[in-house]
Amino acid sequence: MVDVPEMYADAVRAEREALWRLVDEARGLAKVDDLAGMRALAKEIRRRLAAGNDLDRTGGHLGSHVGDISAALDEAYDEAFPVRSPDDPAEVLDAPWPTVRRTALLAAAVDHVGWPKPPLEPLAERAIAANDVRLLRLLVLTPLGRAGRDTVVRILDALQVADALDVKVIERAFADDAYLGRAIGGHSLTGSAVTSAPAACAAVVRDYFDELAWRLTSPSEANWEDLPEVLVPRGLRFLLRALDRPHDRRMADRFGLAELTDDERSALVEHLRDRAAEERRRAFELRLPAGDAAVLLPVLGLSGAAPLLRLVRATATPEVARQDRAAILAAVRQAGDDGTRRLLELCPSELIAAALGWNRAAVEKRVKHNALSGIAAFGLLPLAGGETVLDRYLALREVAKRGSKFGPNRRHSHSAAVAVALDHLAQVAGFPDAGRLEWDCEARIAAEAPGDWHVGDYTVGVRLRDADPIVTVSKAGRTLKSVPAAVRTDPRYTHTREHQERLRDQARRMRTGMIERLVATGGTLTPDELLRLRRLPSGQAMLPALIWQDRTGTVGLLDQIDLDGPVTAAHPFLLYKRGLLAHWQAEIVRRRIRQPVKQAFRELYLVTPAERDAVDVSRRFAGHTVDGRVAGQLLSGRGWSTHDQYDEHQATRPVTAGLTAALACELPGYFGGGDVVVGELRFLAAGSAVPLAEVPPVAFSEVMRDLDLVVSVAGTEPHGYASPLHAASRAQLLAALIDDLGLARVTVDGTSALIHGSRATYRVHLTSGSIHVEPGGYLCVVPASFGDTAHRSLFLPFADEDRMTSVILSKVLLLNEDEKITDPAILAQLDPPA
Amino acid sequence: MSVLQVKVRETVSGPARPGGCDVLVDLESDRTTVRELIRRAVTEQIRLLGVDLGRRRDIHDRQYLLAEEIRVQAASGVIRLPTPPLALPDVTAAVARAHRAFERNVFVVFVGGRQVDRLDDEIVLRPDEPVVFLRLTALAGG
Repeated sequence: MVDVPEMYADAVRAEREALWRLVDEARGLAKVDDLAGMRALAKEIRRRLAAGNDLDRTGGHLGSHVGDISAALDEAYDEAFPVRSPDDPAEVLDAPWPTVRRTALLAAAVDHVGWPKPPLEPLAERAIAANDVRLLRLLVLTPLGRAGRDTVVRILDALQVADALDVKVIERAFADDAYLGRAIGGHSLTGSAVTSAPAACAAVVRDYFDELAWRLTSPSEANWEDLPEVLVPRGLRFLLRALDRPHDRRMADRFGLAELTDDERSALVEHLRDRAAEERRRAFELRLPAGDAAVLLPVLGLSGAAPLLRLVRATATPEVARQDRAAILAAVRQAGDDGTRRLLELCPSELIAAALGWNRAAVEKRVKHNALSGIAAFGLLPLAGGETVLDRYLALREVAKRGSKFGPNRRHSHSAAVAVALDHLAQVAGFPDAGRLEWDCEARIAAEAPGDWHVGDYTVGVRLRDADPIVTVSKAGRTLKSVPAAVRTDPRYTHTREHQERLRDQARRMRTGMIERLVATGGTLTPDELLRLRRLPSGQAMLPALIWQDRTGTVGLLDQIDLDGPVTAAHPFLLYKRGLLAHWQAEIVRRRIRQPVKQAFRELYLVTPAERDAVDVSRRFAGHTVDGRVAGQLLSGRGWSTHDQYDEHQATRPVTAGLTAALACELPGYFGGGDVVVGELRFLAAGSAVPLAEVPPVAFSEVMRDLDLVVSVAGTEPHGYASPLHAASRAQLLAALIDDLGLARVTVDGTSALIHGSRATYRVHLTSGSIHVEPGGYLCVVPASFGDTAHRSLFLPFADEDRMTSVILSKVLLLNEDEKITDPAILAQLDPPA
Repeated sequence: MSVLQVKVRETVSGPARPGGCDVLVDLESDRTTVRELIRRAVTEQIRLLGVDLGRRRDIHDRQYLLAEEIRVQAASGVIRLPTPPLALPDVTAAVARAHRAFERNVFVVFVGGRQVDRLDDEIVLRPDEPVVFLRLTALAGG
């Protein structure tokens, strides 16, 4: 017992003594051939072992210190219950104690030799197919082996069909797996909806459970430990028992959900009629999670509140969702003011209270803490006295700005919550949709310009330079370089500065939220939308600097095209395809146009011949190692969601309707947890990969642009961009190179190099670089300095440009002259030279 | 004067290296030393780099791409303005550094299927036998 921590040593010793007493008892029973007594004792021993191994008791240290006890028990039980025919699985299973000998026989029978808990599935299949009732029962009752939850339920089903399912078997199945109810099916955890077809054994099992639940919670004996989990009891009596014991939290949780028939519901209403208000309220609370609390509204005097209750339950989702303000107000009207207040006391709802303006302070506090549903509720608050729609709109824009400091996925949920809040505000302010609200508010920001003002000889105002608003101070027609004190101390100066800030924010929203998206997707504006955008100062400054295509197909600046129809922002792919890219690049330079976002000079990515050959997968950036945290931030800023190691893809981005870019990466656990190796990129439609040549070229280019940015900014390899080689072609290259070198001891054999060295024969795998020493060894040789800048620029035409190729070649050259190896760490792995 | 081909295999699937993948080195005779071979190779590489730099500097000064440049870039899968050019390295210093690197075993040279050992070893070059430069990575038992 040397490895038992001191705090558990006494407990382990006491448990062992108790177990030894049971061993003695078993030996005594064996001597008088009391087999029934031994069966009962085995149950007791198992119980004792499980309890003794509990974390609270021995910290789990008992289990590994009972080897001698198990051996003694094995001896006693093997002698009392000898295996008469080892080939009969039923005979092997039919024992009260899982001795080592029996376990070995079972393991052999199911082809899992050496397993301490062999799987029972093969025997279960056989028993179910043969309808072998004895074997079926034994598979549940045996202490040997292990069967999955679904298998156990199938065994119970088979026994039920054979009319041989009894309490003893059910009891044992639940004793082994308290959560067996999960596989029985037929009801959800809340008891309200049927989730899957119930198993054949469900009726019998639930009868058993109901009976057990009633018995275990009777006043004389409340034993929750022995009650199986998950299952929901049926019948009004359970609910009434829960009502009778107001302080039993556990009973409220389990029995409050009890399944009721319609008749029972009516009976419940009758029952509650002459009860105290407090009990009615509790009954309502108990039935809330069960989903039928609405039938109790009349006894609470809330008959009109049923629609409101439905809304309360519908808004209680973990995800932030848009609410229909009109529906909320209609339901509130129907419930009446007092009814609404009382219902919200029974089941609070942040969103509904916010729509009524009842929780303004609390919601504002939640917004300050960036609670997502709080942000959504903030949009629903009615305007307070003196508050304008614009005030609320600007406040929400401030909230949106805070999103950039979050991690990748939180950033998306934050901006989704702000979008919902804007939608809510549009409803509050009476706009048909959030878009109209936005137009209106942005136009108001521009219109609320304080106008030029004068102090002394100075004229002060806000002007746009390109799209950038600046405060200008002029004197006698000349613009000053700095702001004089007389202006700075004027109270109007603060207003001017505030207005400049608002315009600057508006320009930023215009650039990143509107123009960037428009150019990146090659988006289209209707004449109406274009007109409205151009009314904003930043729109007026930015839009004429872009290249457009009109409905006739003419490409040009705004003043060169037809504006009576819709206009499309020209993605560089459009210019390239029409042979206009060089022209427009030159034109933008010649006209000295400063484009608000990269358009003519936007990096354009095309499908390469290699990608066309690979059909539906791009490996252009495969093999690059990037810093996960930085990469995660960059990706989420571009609309990607990141996932973890076990997802099919580690980063995805919806690109067009029904098409998703999906990037596979190797990463430790989750995105951001460490270095990420970029892998293959696919475009998925309805879950399957689309040929790259069929992906809309603009979407393809933008996705590749995102990834190029990620590998060049977040890349951690010293060679960064040089070498996205993949293993197969590297192996081919190496094979050809090694041939060129004419190394006498080396022969290339497929994708490995065979080296007949003086100390041994080695096989170097040209894909992985791993070294096998023939016939059956492994040689571990690694670069001496990992992560260092491996090569300085030497201006020679090297054949091994990337690091992995260099490492593998260096290994081959090293082993080719293995008699010259001096590194003791390598020599220790090899036999001395023959 | 003979023209010798120093063979370089294509290893990079990204943008093509300057001057394509095989590098031609001019030598007066087929008999030379390792020292001279390295000097010639470095000089040629820097000359090619200079061509590439000149091309990039042109674009940089002009600020936009010509139709021909777009056509060439399209084949590589991406069209963009090149990164700003850096200064060209000094040939003498680069040759000296390459010589030192050879002596320190940073890289090795194979001529006609034979590894050459010392800078002043005389070598005979044949047109059909490739010269291979290999970088080495220091290894250790793990």
